[in-house]
Amino acid sequence: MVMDPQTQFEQMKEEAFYSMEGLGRLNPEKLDFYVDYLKFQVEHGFYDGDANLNILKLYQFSPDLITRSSIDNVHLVLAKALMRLPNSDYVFCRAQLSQEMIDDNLTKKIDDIATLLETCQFPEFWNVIQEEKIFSEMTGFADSARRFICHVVQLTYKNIEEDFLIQLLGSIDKDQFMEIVAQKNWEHNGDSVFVGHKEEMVEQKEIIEKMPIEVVAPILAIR
Amino acid sequence: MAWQGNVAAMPVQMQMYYQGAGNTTGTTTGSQGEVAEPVVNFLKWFYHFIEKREIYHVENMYEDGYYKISDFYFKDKPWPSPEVVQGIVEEKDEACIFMILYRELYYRHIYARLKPTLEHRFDSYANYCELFSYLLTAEEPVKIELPNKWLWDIIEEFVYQFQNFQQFKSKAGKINDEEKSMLRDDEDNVWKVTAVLNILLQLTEKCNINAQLIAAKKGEPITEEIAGEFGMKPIYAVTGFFSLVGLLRLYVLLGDYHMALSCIEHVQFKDKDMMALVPACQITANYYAGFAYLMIRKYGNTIQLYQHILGYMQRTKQFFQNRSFQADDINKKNEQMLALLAIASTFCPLRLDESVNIQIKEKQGDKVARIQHGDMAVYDDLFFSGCPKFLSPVVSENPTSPFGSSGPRGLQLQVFKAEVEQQKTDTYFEEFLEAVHLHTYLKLAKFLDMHENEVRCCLMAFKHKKEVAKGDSTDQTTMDIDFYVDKDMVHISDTKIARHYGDYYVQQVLKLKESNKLILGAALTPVVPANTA
Repeated sequence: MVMDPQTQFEQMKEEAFYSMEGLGRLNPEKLDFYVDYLKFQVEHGFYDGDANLNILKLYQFSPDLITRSSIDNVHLVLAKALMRLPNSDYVFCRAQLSQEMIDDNLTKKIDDIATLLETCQFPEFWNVIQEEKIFSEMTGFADSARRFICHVVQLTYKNIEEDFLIQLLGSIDKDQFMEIVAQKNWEHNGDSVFVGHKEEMVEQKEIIEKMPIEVVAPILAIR
Repeated sequence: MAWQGNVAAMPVQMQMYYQGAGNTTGTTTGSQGEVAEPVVNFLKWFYHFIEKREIYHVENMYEDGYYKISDFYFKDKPWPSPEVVQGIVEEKDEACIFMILYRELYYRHIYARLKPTLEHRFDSYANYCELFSYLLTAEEPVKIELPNKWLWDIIEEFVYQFQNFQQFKSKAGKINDEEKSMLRDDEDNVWKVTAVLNILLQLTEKCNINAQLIAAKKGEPITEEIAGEFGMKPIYAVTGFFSLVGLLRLYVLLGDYHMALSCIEHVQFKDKDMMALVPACQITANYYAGFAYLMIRKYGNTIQLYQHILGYMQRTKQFFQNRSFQADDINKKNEQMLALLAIASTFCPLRLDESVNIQIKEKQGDKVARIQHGDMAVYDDLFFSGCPKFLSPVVSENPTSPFGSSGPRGLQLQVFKAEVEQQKTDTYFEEFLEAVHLHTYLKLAKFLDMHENEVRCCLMAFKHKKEVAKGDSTDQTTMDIDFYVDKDMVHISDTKIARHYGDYYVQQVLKLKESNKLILGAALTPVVPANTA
């Protein structure tokens, strides 16, 4: 009987959760399970950050588990973590890598792409990811990138030019564009898109000083 | 070394160690040579109080007597060996709790004042295993009670000795052949990282500390249902809490910020109950948590934690003055946090408290100025001053291990440097935004000497980074700069910040109070003229 991916994912998630309890997460015999779980996530577009990060942890604690193909798993973990921006998943993963893993060419590439995303150079980002098939083979990667881009646009803009927005989203076609606009509850007005009111952000504020009692208490006690 | 003080002038609690010590140079002979009479008395009373579970006296002796005697009699040599002490207190069982505790103090003293040999390291580890085993494998909660400060010191020292051992192993060149063979033959796997983690985890689980913290957050009382039989006893609950902090520290040292932050998920840093029990614990917890937040770029959290703890350290400075070794540790943490705060404040334009600002200006002012002039290399210095001594879980004798020659600290620096790179344009950018009010992209581009598209990306990056930095800090911290973009116009906020006099005013009033005290004190003491003849 073949289970649908959702159910399969739930099952694997539960298994991972229990095997990572306490010090169980350092059990090297479970590594193959975590790797299979990771590949499943890549294929079907699910995500379990805790389990993926644990793979890196196992490599750190038991370096003898590292084989020639381990670096591929590292790449998958990093790329999956990028899909979670603006959450900190990528940094968590990055802090667990060995020098050898960092020096690998594809790791460096993924790192560059992470920087492009963090510095919001989105047009360049879309160009660069064409060069590596890891991203095209990862289900949902482009969608999650767009989700992050929309998040940043939401933070920054009141009204944004349509052409520029399309460029940011990776030069998508009109239909996809209108779908995204509708999804985000933005308003399409001719050549621009209204994202949200932002005026309160820049209202003239006067910050008056507030002094908590514990700071003033020492002098009040003076005789 | 004879006691040079006047016994009668000592507090009553200390005097009893010197009973019968009119002959202050009297000694007891043991296999380690002579043991001074006051030390013998101290040990006998200590043994008595621990066996009788008189925690008040144990606390006094631990917090006062132990350190004073260490300072006077054992400045540069170890305390009497455990065998000798066993004879002095006439205890037959070398595995009794007093002996285990004495050995803990004995090895701690060696680590602090002398250099531990490999044998010391092995023996100390075995002793810790015995101690934790005593707590963890008991079928019902142990009856003994120990002062909170001692419990914290045990956990802190345990993690410290592990750290020390890893650092010792990584200096392959300094290990002699005999030690190398000892390490190879070591079947018990002394100071293995998984064992250390395991012990700390078990201590937290024994008392259901997380369930207790969750209940405390909700304001519910701690019942036996929540805490379990063991968790209701202070020795277990307190040790469990301190172990959480120990885990936090260990995970940060291993570069695992995810596990570190999940450890303290339910800990309230401003809590007056558990967190406030031992000042050193509070300082350690805040330092490591703040550092973890810094590494994952949530500067708002770091700033909130460090401001709070630095303020606390300022206010309680006088309590640590009389303990020189503690004051050193605390000053060091203070310096480290200021360096990290300097970094966080350049990445995140949140207003800092005046008193903290003054401290940063004093200690790190020139470095911050250099950053503002574009000197990014200063970040390396600040990072190294502020970061903890990272560890790798596995230290092999082979220097060409997969973790490379840069070592754990180098690896973390690289993670940090990535952020410095990403923030580069932001800092540059901020200065211009501060100066202008409303501008189009084009004008901004011209000012900044950047391409128009670059400016658009910068604006978004700025917003993104600030949003991440805010984290989940709950303070009413204020942003200096804010803006939004309307097609091609950038609207920038015009926040007026009223001059903050408060903190500075309070500082000056307190200073005046101190000066007054000094002057009045001096006026009342008669000045005895020196005899000249």
